Amino acid sequence: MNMLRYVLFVFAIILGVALGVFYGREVNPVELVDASPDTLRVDYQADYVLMVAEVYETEKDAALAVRQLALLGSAPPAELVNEALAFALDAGYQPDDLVLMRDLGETLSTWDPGLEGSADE
Amino acid sequence: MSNPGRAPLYLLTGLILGIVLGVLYAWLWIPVDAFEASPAVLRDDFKDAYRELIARAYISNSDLGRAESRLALLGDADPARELAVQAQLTLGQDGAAEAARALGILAAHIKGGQDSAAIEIAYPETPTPGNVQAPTSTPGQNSSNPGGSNETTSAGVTPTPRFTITPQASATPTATQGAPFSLVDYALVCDEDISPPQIQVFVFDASGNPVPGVGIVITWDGGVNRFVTGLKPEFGLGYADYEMQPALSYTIRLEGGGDPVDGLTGRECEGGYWGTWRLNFTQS
Repeated sequence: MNMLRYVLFVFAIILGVALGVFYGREVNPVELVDASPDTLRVDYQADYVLMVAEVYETEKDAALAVRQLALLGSAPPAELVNEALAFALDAGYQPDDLVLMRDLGETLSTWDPGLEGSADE
Repeated sequence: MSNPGRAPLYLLTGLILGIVLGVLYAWLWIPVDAFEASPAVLRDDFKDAYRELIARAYISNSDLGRAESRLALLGDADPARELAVQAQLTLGQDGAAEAARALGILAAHIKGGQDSAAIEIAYPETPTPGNVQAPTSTPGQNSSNPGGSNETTSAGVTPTPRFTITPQASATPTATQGAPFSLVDYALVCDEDISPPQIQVFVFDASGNPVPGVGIVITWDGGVNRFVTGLKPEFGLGYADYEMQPALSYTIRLEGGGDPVDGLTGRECEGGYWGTWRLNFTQS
């Protein structure tokens, strides 16, 4: 009899856990608020990088592009662009967009903030 | 001890304990995809940065559909208004003129595209500068639309309504680089509902299309400020206004070039309220 009570008790706990997880994930899930760009889903991050590339195409301001990309995390800017480019290739972005991202990536791979001032002059 | 007619207490205890553990697990051990945020949940300052990037990218690619799709991700109720407000706030920051211009232009184009309309101007006779006098009539109707309010000129005659809304393709007018703007005409608008009085500026290119993003420097004794066309797209892409203090005398100059216009000071209308100056500039 005591064994049966233990089994039922454990079963009740398992059932409760299942109900609790269902409530916490489906009924009332945790919602992100005041998020930072580095938490954006990968497709949003790729589009963000594409925007930076579009701006860079016109303004040719590598320092500005680096500042904009810095919001996506502490990884090197060229790495962020290359990750976005890899996603863009898989997702079938338009060739023109891929070219923009590739050009930005190539620029940033050799970009040296120490030379920025002299490059601008 | 146990009552066969009631559920055993230990079962209820186990169930409650399990629910508590399950909820804690669900909320504290956050799954990876919960960190995959959308732009709509970004912090406000990050949203501003995102919005600015959208506007700058729009200036680069001129793809309004893409810009609108991106703005939709931010979940703004009125994207054009958010852009215009941010442009206005950005103006006050150092080195942010380009960002403000991009935000203002995108706001104007979104508004223009939504309405499928742009403002066209039909100029009446060009008045001689310096002969504008206090008006003799005070129509003051439809104050919400500067272009629709009546005007009085030196002759005291109510002119033909100057602005007409005409549906047309949403082209993207831009000022011809280097060509200066010149004052075509100006008038004192007596509209009791425009309070405090304003200096309203309409800027058009050589083809008569309104031009957004034109900076206007306004100076007065002891002060200087700057405002930009296109931040209130509901009044036209080439429209900008500045609230004036009647006691001061203002000089305005368009950043696209041209002669400054000075002596813009408060002028009282017949009803005892201050009139609003309206100036039309066009590119040579």
